[in-house]
Amino acid sequence: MNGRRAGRLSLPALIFLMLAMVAPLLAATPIAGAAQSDGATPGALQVCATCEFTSIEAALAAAPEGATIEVLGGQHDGPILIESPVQLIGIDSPVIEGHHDGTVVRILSSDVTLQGFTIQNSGQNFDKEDSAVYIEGERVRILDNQLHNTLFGVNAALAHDLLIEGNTIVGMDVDMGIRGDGIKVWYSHRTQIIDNDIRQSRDLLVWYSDDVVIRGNTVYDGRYGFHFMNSNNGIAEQNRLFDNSVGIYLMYGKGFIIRDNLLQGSRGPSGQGIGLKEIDGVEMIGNIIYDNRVGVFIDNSPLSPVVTNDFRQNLFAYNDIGIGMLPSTRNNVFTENSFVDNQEQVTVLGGGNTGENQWSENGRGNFWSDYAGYDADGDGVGDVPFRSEHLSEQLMSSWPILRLFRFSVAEAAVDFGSRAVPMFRQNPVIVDEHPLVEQVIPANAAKPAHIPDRTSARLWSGGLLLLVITVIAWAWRGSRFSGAETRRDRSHAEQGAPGAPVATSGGRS
Amino acid sequence: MSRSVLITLAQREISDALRNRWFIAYAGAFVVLSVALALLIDSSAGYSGVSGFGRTSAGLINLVLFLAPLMGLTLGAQALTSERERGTLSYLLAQPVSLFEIFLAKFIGLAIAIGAAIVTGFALATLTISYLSGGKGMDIFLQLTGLTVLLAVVSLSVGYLISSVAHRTSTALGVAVVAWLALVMIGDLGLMGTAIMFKLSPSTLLTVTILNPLESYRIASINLLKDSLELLGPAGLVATDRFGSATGWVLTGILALWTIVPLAIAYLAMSRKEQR
Repeated sequence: MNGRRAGRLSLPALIFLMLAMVAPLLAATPIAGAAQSDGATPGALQVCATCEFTSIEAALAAAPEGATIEVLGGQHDGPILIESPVQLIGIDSPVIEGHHDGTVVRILSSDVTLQGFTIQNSGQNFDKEDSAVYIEGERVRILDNQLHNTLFGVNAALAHDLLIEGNTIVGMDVDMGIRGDGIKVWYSHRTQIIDNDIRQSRDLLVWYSDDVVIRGNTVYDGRYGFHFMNSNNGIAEQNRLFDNSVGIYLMYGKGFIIRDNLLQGSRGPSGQGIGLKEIDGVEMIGNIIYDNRVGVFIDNSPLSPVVTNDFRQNLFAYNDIGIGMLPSTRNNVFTENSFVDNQEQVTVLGGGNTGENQWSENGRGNFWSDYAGYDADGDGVGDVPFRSEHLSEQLMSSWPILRLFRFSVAEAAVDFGSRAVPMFRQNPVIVDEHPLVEQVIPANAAKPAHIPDRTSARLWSGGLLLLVITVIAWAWRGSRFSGAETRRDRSHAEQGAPGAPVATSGGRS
Repeated sequence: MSRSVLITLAQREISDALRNRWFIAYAGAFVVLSVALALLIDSSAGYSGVSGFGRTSAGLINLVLFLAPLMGLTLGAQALTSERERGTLSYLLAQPVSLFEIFLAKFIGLAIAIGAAIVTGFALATLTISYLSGGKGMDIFLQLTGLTVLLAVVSLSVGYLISSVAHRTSTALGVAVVAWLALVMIGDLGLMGTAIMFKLSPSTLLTVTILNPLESYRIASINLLKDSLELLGPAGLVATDRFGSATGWVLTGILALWTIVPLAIAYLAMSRKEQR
């Protein structure tokens, strides 16, 4: 009897329990949808002209820890100070206006989310690092915001586990030197910077921060695309960095993965696609390094004698210098990279050769567009080693003033002379024992910017050809205008009286 | 000076040039080589999907530096002497045309003919690959073409000067070839050596170098294609520093001077000779 009753009682209890477990799930789905459509999230504090709260400050003051505050459009004045863990969500991109004074949004708490705002017009004070968003707290998330006309964009200090995703950051339209940094990350481990669009700023700085991931960002028209300093184990992948002074600069650290990035048009005074200064253990794989002053610049890296840096399957194309290294750089391994038509493929800045670096591994070297060898056995590896020994290049490394004669016939003559007369032959800058005969294409890398317009080129050159034909036809017709007389004289000319036909046509006038 | 006389004589000069085997050979070589080079550039870019101004496309500047002055100098050197040797000059002068008209019309006609050859070469090369300008746009390409035609006109003018002074075509041709060698190669090689031996300052080296019209052309075209002269090391930076955004104009000005001055001297020498 007791058993039966217990059974009868336990059935509703079970149903109740199940409902209780499912309820949050059922409830959660409509909440997410509602937040997008009409902003009616149960439990959320709303800010708008007719809502319970009319200012962000009032809502923040009233919000308990972990609350969600929804701001429904409108213009709001900065500065905003967030000192407790809340989710501040902008719907219909509300604007937070900084009025050109100080930092606009200051986050001094952990576990804060800031999403969907347009934050604009910060102050311009470098001493105080005026920013659109300043962060000092852990696990903060900055999502889908538009930061416009700000000195610094996102400025984080001691903000571990920060996530910066999907933001657009546009700096001030002033000289490079007096702009602030689009993103500055200081002492914030495990920060993730993902899918942001940053332009017209100075640098994207990562200082003293380990295990940072930078993925899928576009950075252009700035000074440093990314600048890692005293940071270890960073990952940069799938980013597009173009028209910056320098693409990626790594300084003092170890353990980086630089993968599938585009580094294009880094043409500042010391323009470098990627610069390595005293960096141990870099894996650089599948990047497109295109049209930079120096593709990869290597200064005393790796620092430790027992570590190697690996460069694999990168494309170095149309740079002034593909790889430029300072003397006594060693223990770098280059395999399956493609060096396509760089003015100088590899050079030691200051002269010398790259003796202690490795240009092939396991019988696979690199592709060199100026390789003049052959592959008789068809295994994809050239049968004679590639040697880079342009005498002119070596002269130019030793006497930079001679670069003035680049592309001159004299330069070509010097190279020809050194090939023809072995007495002038120098030690080659590099020897690749196993050069590849086909390019290895970085298939996963971000795509280049500025693709030339071929159709208009075709139209223009077609037009030029037409012009030439017209001119020739006009001259031809004019010169034989005077009919029978000219023709008779021409037959004279063919019998050996040159010049006679044309004289008559001159008399036409 | 009658315009119709000028036009008629220029037309005659163009069609004469089209019958001149030297001209045909030069023009043919230029067109074929520039198209071949275009194909080479195309194959060197491969299937990597990126294109630009690299070592191979720089070969175009080399080609121009080689052929355009040779064309201008030798055709210019023949222009007046051969006319004199054939006796057609006296014949023409017996007509109601002045020496100046003949002088100028021949120059214009030859310049148009050589210009046409160069434009054809550039246009066909661009039709082959479409990014001679390194993806920098058509205005750069058009400016480069214009600059190249100007270089050819400069060498034509120098050739004209040789022709007006020389007595025989063979002498004129010999002098023209020596002048070509000096301008194209020997001068630069000498400067390279001098720069190292005497440790010339970048600014001195730059000044001496751009006196050579071929060098002015080369530096101007690099400035066009690369947007800056940083590629040319310290001396290039001196140029940017000294001339700034006017760099292209300064170099073009040097080329223009090299056209006008030799031409004026040539006319003076010529008229003196004909008066005797």
